[in-house]
Amino acid sequence: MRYVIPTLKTIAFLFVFGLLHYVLPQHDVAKITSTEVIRMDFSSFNRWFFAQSDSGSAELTTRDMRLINTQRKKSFLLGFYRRDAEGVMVFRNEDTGWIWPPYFKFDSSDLQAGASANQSAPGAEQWVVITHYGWRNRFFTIYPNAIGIRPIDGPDVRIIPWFNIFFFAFVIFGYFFLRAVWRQFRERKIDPIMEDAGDAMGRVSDHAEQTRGRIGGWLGSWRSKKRR
Amino acid sequence: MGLVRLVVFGFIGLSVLYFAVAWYARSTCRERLEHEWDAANPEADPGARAGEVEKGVDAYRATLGYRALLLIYIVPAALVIANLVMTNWN
Repeated sequence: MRYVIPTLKTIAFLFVFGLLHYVLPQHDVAKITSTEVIRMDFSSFNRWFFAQSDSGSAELTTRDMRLINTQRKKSFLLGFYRRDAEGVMVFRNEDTGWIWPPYFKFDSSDLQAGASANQSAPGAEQWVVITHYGWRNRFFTIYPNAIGIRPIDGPDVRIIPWFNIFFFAFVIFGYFFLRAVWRQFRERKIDPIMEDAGDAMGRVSDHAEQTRGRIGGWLGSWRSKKRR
Repeated sequence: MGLVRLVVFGFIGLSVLYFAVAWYARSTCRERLEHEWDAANPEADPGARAGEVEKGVDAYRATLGYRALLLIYIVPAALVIANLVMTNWN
């Protein structure tokens, strides 16, 4: 029991952290090297990490997927610190549609055109900020989904994650507000009922006590008297 | 189809939130009125309190502040539309 609760808490924390890390937007400073379309045949597992086909189209098990190949500045600590080193990163470019994750992205084709328009060539580098969510994993063949592409003058740019700041501020506010609502509900609705129930329980147990006394007495009257 | 699902489930979720917050607002108002009444009438019969307090809560229901809670429906819808436009506008 000493290890069960902390283990469950750790698992829950890791799950929430992973979910938020997957879903919340992140920014990469990158050069677009090319764009391409590949055919994807999803497995039942990696299907989880892709959105659906373009919002006006039918959903089939096999479809074409737009990819954006980039050379990006590597970063660490959740992208807060950018390094000078560069590495490749491949983004997918899919509609998220109406439901999940709630980016309401329907302009994959336009984004692909924007990626082509801001493509870098040797000697003519065009840096961009790519907003994306999701993970790249080579073993499962999954890609982060690009949401927006913004051309910038150079790779030294300060990016302030406004959405994430407001998101976490709202989560903290919501937590304390819902806690206040719950405490009010408990004070006004649950505690009075529990007090009534407590009184009733008290009466029942008093009654049981007396009854047991009487029945016990009656049983006792049948027992043989102690012989002297 | 996705839009229909979003509207239906969004409406259900926001309704739960709205009723919770509206109940909270009324409940804190009622509590405040009860305390005020107790302070003003320390000797009075507590049975007379309930009617007065309910009148006060009904008056609170008519205020702009209480009606502004309908923003719980309006603000998320506006945010979704703003997000939709900002993501997809060229």
